[in-house]
Amino acid sequence: MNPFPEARPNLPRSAALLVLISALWLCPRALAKVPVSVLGAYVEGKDSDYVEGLAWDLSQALADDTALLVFDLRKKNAGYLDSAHASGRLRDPKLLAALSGDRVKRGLLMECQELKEEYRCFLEALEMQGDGPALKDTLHALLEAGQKRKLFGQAAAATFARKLKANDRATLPAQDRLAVLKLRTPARPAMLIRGLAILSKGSVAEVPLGTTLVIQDAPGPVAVSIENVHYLLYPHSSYTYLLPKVVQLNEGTLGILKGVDSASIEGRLRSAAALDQSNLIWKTLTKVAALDTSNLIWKGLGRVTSLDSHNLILKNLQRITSLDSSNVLFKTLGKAVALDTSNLVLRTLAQVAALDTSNLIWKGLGQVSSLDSNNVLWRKLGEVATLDGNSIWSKLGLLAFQDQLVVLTPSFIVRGQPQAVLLRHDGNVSTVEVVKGNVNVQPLLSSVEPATLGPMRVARTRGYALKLERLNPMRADRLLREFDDLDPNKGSRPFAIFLPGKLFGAGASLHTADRSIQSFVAGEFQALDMETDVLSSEKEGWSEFPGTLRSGAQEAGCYLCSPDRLGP
Amino acid sequence: MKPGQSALVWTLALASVAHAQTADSTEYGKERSYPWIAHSSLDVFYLHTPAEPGRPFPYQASLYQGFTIQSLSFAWFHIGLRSRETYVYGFEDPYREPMVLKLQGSVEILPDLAYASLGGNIPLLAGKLSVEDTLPLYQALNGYDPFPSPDFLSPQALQIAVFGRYAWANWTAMAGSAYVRETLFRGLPGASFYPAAYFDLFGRAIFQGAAARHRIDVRASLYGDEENADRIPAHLEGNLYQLRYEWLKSLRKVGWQLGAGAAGKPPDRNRRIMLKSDLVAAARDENLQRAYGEAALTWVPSPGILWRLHVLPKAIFSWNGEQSGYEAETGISVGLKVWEYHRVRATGTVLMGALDGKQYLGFGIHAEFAFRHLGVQDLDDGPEPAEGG
Repeated sequence: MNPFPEARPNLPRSAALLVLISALWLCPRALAKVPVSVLGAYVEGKDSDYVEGLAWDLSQALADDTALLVFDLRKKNAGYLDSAHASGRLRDPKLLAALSGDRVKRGLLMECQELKEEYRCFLEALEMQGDGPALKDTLHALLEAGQKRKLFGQAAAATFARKLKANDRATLPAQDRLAVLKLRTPARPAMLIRGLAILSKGSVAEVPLGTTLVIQDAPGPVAVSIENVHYLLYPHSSYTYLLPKVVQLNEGTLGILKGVDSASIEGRLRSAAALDQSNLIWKTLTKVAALDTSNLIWKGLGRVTSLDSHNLILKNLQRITSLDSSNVLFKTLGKAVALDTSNLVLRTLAQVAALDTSNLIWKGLGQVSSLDSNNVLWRKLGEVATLDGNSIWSKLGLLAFQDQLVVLTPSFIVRGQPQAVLLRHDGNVSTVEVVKGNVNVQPLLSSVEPATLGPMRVARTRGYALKLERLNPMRADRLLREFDDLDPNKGSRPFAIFLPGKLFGAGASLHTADRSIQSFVAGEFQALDMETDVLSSEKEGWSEFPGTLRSGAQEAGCYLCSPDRLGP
Repeated sequence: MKPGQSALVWTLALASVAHAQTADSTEYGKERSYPWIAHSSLDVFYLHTPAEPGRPFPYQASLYQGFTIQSLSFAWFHIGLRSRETYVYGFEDPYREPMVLKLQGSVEILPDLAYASLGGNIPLLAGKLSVEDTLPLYQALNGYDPFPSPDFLSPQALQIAVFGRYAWANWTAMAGSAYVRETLFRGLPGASFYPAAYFDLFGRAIFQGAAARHRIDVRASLYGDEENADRIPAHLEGNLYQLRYEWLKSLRKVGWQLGAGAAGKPPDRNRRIMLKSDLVAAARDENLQRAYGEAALTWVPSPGILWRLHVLPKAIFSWNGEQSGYEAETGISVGLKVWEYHRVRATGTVLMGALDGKQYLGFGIHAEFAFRHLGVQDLDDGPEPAEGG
């Protein structure tokens, strides 16, 4: 089925009418869809079949975004568009206007260069009506994209969509600003990837949800702390941040170390930032709902946001559970889950979870689940999970709703309450070494039941059978020593936290002004011989070189010190 | 009330206001803390050449204690204490300023857009000079002086400034203006004077390119009249115009900073002298012009240590060609993390120069320790750019 219209929406008339009425009823913003069309997706070193296919994949990926209405101008004009591109006339406003026929607002053009280690793609959203400014962006993609056309198209579509929406609302989508893991020390050299898109290379200090962090030949492990759990990320490893407390270890080694008790001052220090957000959950949900107004889940939750009662949330959730299986909510959810992990719904769920595990949504869901283990909601969500043949989802189930820590590798899934655990995935073999704590291990590629591992146990699997062994005490000792060395609490605990008084209070600090303007102000007050400090936790800099760009008192001589001006 | 007492009262008032404010605590709970940094620094500079037989070598030693705190969600404050001792050829005794108080406060008027600052100098224990010291003082303060703080007098002064910032795409632009009024300097018995007030206009543009960061600074300092104790204008200081470009790049463990700039200062104009005949214009005081380069190489072998080499070559000349020379400063710095959050930094410099047939050779050190309390934070490592870069 053609997911996007050629010249007009290719839907049965009655269905189109129904959609239109639904859209009008749900939200007026549905009318504000941006009509776009892919003009071409040209990749250096690829033949015309690939280019044509990539343009199609890009269009399809864009069509999944409910904020865009995608037309297929290439269907009838592919040859002409390619010729115009080759002769450099594709950006001609007259040509674009003639092509669009008042239907398409933006023509999307993708031109990729093949570099040594990546594709660098210049993305342009050309104004089809008139000669307005084009929206431009750059996508860096792995060379693997040359073989994975569909994913390449999705990566480009995500970049286009972000650019178009950012331009539309003059702000970044909410999901891009939330749920970002901050590394205590940046991983370097490292690479941050979402799908096939390279988000950053070199030094990586932040890991947004749904991205993959590849740490290359780094000098040593780096630590990430989520609440009171420290993840130790090792060199030559790759991790995907799927959901809060859910990490995928693609290759390499991952250490997990439970931190100090959350009730202690150190624990409060670590979790303060998350606690601060608890009041913002509903605001965030509302914002997210606004991003995709046709999404019924967020529509429903959006209504909940206007209420402020724990009971009402439960009521809403229970009302949802009472709906039948043909309910549009579950259809929507099912559709959403069938999409990839960068999907809005999943990412949003995860972001909400990232804010605070004690927030009302999770409490509410928890209570619903405790009411009845066969609750309709859970069963429905379970059904949703089975919609996708991907075994990860079926294994994952509703782990996101649990207060457990989850690590996935291509061969097994580990969940539980680890205190000191090392996981490795090398080739096809995944290994978990439990020094302290308890975890459940389940191979992903067979129907073997999960096995429980206590302290001083090792589990190993290629995805089918599970081999359980004792952990060598010498090995355990070595692991604990290594963890002790890497424990972020040890090295970073400032002695200030032991001092009394408000000024030494733990937790997030007050908002500080932008670092650059603070240093600018400090620079100006150097003229008064002041050494003003810059209050910011961002990367610090050296102060200006003395002797250059100096002004004020430093440069005003003392004429009246002249001896011939002294005296009566 | 003495200036020191007023400062104390002011500080206490700030602290109490900070303690009383609840806007943030209501929203975020009681754990929100005030970010602050306390730092101490020591500078010593010693001029080995030119040497004058039988006299000690000129030197300058300075100590600074500073405390900066964000005690309101929209404002931050600084209090500092400067002690400095300077000896130049010709002084009977070194000129000492044992205690000069620095106070400054900044507010964010429009978030991320507009800011204002007010600050000043209050000499608590001011230095004294004798009339015999005036010639060496005049010679030290006019023309070339290799000291890190050539103008070592600290008269009481007040500066008020407004700043603006606007960021768009890869560009960040900042601009501001400041007015500084200095009050009577009483360090010279019988010859007190008002140093020139000035008006500063400055701007900065930063462009984050794909390969590197580019930064352009411009500054114009417009000086008023220097006046005698009776507020009679005696001398108009030449304005100062400065321009600088910086290229900043950081790659894994290494960072580069290259720059070039120039500072032009038209001649000072003296007061016309009333003689019995017609008014006769006094001679102009030519000022020195500067053109300089900046180069720094930063290296971070491990997250806890940072090294930096810098070279600052400078050409010095006057427009009438009577004076020309150069100055070159070379330095090596090391920065260390202490207890993760806090910092120790030290710099050693060698300064060489020549002007008017005199050779200059000086050695300096700068050391500082910063005790930082910035709340929950994620410290970054790696090559550090110049501030604001």
